[in-house]
Amino acid sequence: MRGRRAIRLLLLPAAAVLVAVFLLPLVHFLAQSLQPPAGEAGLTLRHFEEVLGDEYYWGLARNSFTLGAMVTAITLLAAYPAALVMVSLRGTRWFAVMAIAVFSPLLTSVIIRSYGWLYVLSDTGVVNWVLLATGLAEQPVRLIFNWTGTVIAMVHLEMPFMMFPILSVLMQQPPVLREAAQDLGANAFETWRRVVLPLSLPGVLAGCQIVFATSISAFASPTILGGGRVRVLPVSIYSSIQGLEWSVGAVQAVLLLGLSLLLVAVFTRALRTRSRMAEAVA
Amino acid sequence: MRAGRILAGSYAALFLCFMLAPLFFILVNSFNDAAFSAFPPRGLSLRWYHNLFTVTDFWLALRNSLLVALTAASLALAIGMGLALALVRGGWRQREAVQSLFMSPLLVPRVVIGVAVFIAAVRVSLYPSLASIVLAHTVLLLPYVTSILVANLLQVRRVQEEAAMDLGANPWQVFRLATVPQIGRGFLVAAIFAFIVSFDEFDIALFLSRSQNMTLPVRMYLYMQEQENPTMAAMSALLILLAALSVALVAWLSRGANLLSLLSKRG
Repeated sequence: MRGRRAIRLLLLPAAAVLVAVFLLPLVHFLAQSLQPPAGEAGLTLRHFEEVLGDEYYWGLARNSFTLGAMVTAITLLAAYPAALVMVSLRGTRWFAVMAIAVFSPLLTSVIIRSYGWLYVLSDTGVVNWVLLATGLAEQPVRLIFNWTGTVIAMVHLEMPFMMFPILSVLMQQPPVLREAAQDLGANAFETWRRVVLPLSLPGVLAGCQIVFATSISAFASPTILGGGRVRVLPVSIYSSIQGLEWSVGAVQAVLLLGLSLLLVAVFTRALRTRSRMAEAVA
Repeated sequence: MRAGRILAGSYAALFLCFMLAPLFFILVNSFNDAAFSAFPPRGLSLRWYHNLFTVTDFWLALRNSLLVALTAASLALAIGMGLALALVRGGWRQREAVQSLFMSPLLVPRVVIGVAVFIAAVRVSLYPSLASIVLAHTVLLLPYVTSILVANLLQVRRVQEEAAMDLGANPWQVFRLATVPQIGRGFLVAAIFAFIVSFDEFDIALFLSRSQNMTLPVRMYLYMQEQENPTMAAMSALLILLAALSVALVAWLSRGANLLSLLSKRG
C-alpha cells in the first residue's frame, strides 16, 4: 500500500506544469475581463457590459456558432457515406487507399493545407480553370476570401475527426445484424435506416462533438481563407490582443470558452442517453 | 445492385479527389515556372526550390521548429510517463475522473491557450523566447501523450513485473527491465505523434513567435501574406515529403495496429 501512495507522487511534475503553464495563465488572462482601468482598485463588470451590450460581438458569437454548425453538418454528410463505402471495402487494398487519403493530411500543418486550398480555389486556380474551360462559368467564381472557401477548407481539416468515430462504430457492427434484416425482407435502404444508422449514432454524435468544438475555436482557416470577411470569435480575440485591448479580448475568450464547454456538455449528455438506449436494445 | 456499386464507386472517387486535392496541387505548383501561383503551371522548373535557399529565414524557422518539437515532445513524454504510471498504478478508486482533470487543456480553444501563455510570458519576461513556445506545447501535448501511455500501461502483463520484484529488483529496475520493454512501441508512437503535433502547431505559436524565435508554420504564414510566388509551394512540398516519410516510419513501428486511433486523437 505504501508503494501505491509513493507512485502517486509521480503525477506531481505534470500537475506542476499544468498549474504553472496552463491554469494560472488561463485564470490570469480571463481575470483581465474584470480588470478596472489602471489606478482603480477592485473588479468591474464594465467590459462585460461593453461587449455584451454591443450587437457587433453578438454577431461574432452567432458567426462562430453558424460556422461550427455548417462545418459539422457538411462534414457529417460527406463523411457518413464515405465511411459506409470504406466498411464495404474492408480487407481490400482500397480500404488502405481511403484511410491514407482521409488521415494523411493530419500530418501537415494547417498553413500548408490552407495554402493548398488557396491555390485550388483562387480566381486563377484549379477549380476556376475547369469551370472556365468547360464553359460552366464565363467569369471566375469567387471561392476564396469569403465563407465558401473557409467552409471548404475546414470541412477538409475536420474530416478525419468525423471519419474516425463513425468508422470505428461501423466496423464493430456484427454483419449478422444486417443479414438478419435482409432475411426478414428489408431492402438495402431499410436495412440501413432501421439497423445500421441507429446503431451508428453514438459514433456520429462523438464525431459531431469533436468537429463542432474544434471548428468554433478555429483560427487559421477563417483568417487565411476568410480574408477578413469571416468574423468569428477566435479571429476577433487575436485582433483585440494585437491592439492591446486585453480586457475586451478576455471577455470574448470567456464567451468562446463558455460556448465550447456548453456544446461539449450537450453532446456528452446526448451520447450518454444514446449509449444507454443502445445497451437497452442489446 | 450494379447501380448501387457504381454510385458508391463514383462517390468514393469524388471523396478521394477532395481529400487529396490541396496537397496534390501544392506539389504541382511547386514546379510551376511562373512568378505567381496560377493553374495550369506555365512550364516546369525547379527555380522555387532553388529560391528556398535564398530565403534564409525558412531555415532558421525550421531549426526553431525542430528544436521546439524535440524539446516539447521529450518534456511531455517524461512528465506524461510519470503521470501515466501514477494514474494506472496509483490504486485510485476513480482513475478516469483523476485522468480527466489532466485532459482539461483539450477543452480550451488553442487561441485562448495562446493568449494566456503569451500574457504570462510577458509578465515573467519570457517573451519572446523559444522556451515559452516549448512550455505551451508541452501543456498541449501532455493529454495526448498521457492517454496513449495509459492505454499501453493498462495492457502490461503484471506477472513479469512481479517476477522481477520477487527476484530482488528495485522499483526503477522493475520499470526499466519489465515495464519498458512491454510499452516500448507505444512510447515510440507517442513520441512521433507528439513531435508532429508540436512541429505543425500554428495557433499558439503565432502569439509567442517573434523575429528570431519564429516557428516554421508562423514564418510560412507571414511569407504567404507577403509573396505570391510558388516558393511557399516548394517549402510545403518538402514538408509533405517529410510527413510521408514519418507516416511510413510510424506505420512500420506500429505494424498497422491502432494507427488510425492514434492519428485521430485530438479532442
